[in-house]
Amino acid sequence: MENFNIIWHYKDLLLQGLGYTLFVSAAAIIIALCVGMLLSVMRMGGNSLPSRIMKKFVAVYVSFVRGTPVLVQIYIIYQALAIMGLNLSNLVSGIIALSLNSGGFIAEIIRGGLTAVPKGQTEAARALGMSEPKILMRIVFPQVFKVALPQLTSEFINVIKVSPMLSVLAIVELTRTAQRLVSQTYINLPFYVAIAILYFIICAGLEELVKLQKKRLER
Amino acid sequence: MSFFDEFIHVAEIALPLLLQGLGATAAISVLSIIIAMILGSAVGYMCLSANKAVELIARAFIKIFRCTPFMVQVYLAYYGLPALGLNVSAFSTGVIILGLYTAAYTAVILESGVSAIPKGQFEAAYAMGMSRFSTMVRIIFPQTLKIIVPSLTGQFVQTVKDSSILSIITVAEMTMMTKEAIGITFSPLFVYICAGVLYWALNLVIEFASKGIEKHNNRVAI
Repeated sequence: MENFNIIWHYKDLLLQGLGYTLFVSAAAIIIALCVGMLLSVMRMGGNSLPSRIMKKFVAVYVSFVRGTPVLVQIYIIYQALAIMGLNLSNLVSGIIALSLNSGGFIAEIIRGGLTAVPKGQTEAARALGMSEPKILMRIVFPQVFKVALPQLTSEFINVIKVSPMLSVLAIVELTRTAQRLVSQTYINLPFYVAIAILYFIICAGLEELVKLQKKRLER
Repeated sequence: MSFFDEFIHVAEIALPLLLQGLGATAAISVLSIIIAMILGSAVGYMCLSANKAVELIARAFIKIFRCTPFMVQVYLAYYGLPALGLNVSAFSTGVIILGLYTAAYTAVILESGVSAIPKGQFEAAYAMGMSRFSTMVRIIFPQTLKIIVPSLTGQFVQTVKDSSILSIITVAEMTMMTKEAIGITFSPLFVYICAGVLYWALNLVIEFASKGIEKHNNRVAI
C-alpha cells in the first residue's frame, strides 16, 4: 500500500514517460512505413544490372536487420550518425534506429501483402496509361495495406516493445523514467511492476485491435 | 592510418573479447531454448486442455510474457528474484527470464502447429485406445515438430537477439563484452559493427540449419 502511494505520487512522470514511448513508437512506425515501402519498391525492378544490385542490397539489408539485435543496431546507428558529422539529438537518432529496424520487417510484411494484389490490376492500370509511381500509390499500396493491416499493427506492438531499448541512449521514455525514479527513491520493484502493467495495457489493447482487424478482413 | 587499416586494427583487439562473449551468448541461448522447449510444450499442452481453469492459467502466462517488453521483464527478474528469496547469479537470472519469455512464444507456435494436424489423427489414436497424453507425445508432437521447424528456428534467432538485452544486468555476453572492448579501443562504431556481424553470422548459421532440416523433412515425406 505504501509502495502504491509512492507510485501514485509519481504518476504524472510515469504518464509523461508513457506519452514519450507512444510518441517515439508512432514516429518510428510512420518513418518505418516509408522505409518499408521504399525497400519494396527497390525490390520490384526487373532483371537489369542496377535493379539486380538493388535487390541484392535490399536482401542483405533485411537479413542484417533481422539477424542482429536491436540493441546493437541502436548503438551502431547512434555512433554512425555521430561519425558522419550529423549533430542529431539522441531522440532523433533513436527514432531513426527504430524505424530503420522496423522498416526491414515492414518490407517483409509488404512483400506478403503484394501477393494479394492480382497482376491484372497493375496491367489494367498500365493499359489506362497511369505512370508507375501512380500505379503503386493509388492501386497497389492501398490494397496491400488493407490486407496487411493486422500485421502492421502487430509490428507497431513490436516497436512499442522494442522502444525500452532506447533508454540506453538516455531517451526519457517509460523505462528510462522508471530507471530514474528507481535511482531517486531506492525502491525498484514497484516501479518496474507499474511500467510493466502500463506496457501490458497498451500492448494487450492493441492485440485485441489486431484480432478485430483480422475478423473484419475475413468477412 | 586509413579507415580500413584502423578497422582491422580495432577488430584484432576486439575479436578475442567478442568471441568470448559469443560463447556466453551461445550458452545462454541454448540453455534458454532448452527451458523454453520444455516449458513451452507444457504450456502449449495446457492451452489444449479440456479443463478451463488450466487453459486460463496457460493463456495468462502467454499473454503476460508476450505483452510486456523483454527489457522490463529482465529488470523485474533481476530485482524480483532476490525479493522472492532466490539469490541467483545474473547469468542464471538471464537464462531463466529468457527461457520463460521464449517459452511463451514457443507455446503459441506449438499450439498453432497442433491445430494444423488433421483431427482424424487424434480420433484414430483414441480409437486404438491410446491415452490423451501418449497420443500427444507419440502421434501429434512428432508431426507438429515437422510443421513448426521454420517458425521455431525463427523464434530461436529471436532468442539469440534478445540475449543481447541481458547486458543491462551485467551478464557477460557479447553486447557486454562489446562495451568492454570499446573501453580498450575507444572506437565504438567499429566494435559494434564487429559485434553486429558476429550476431548476424550466428543467426545465419541457425537459418541455414533450419533450411537444411526442412529440406531433409521434405525428402523424407516424399
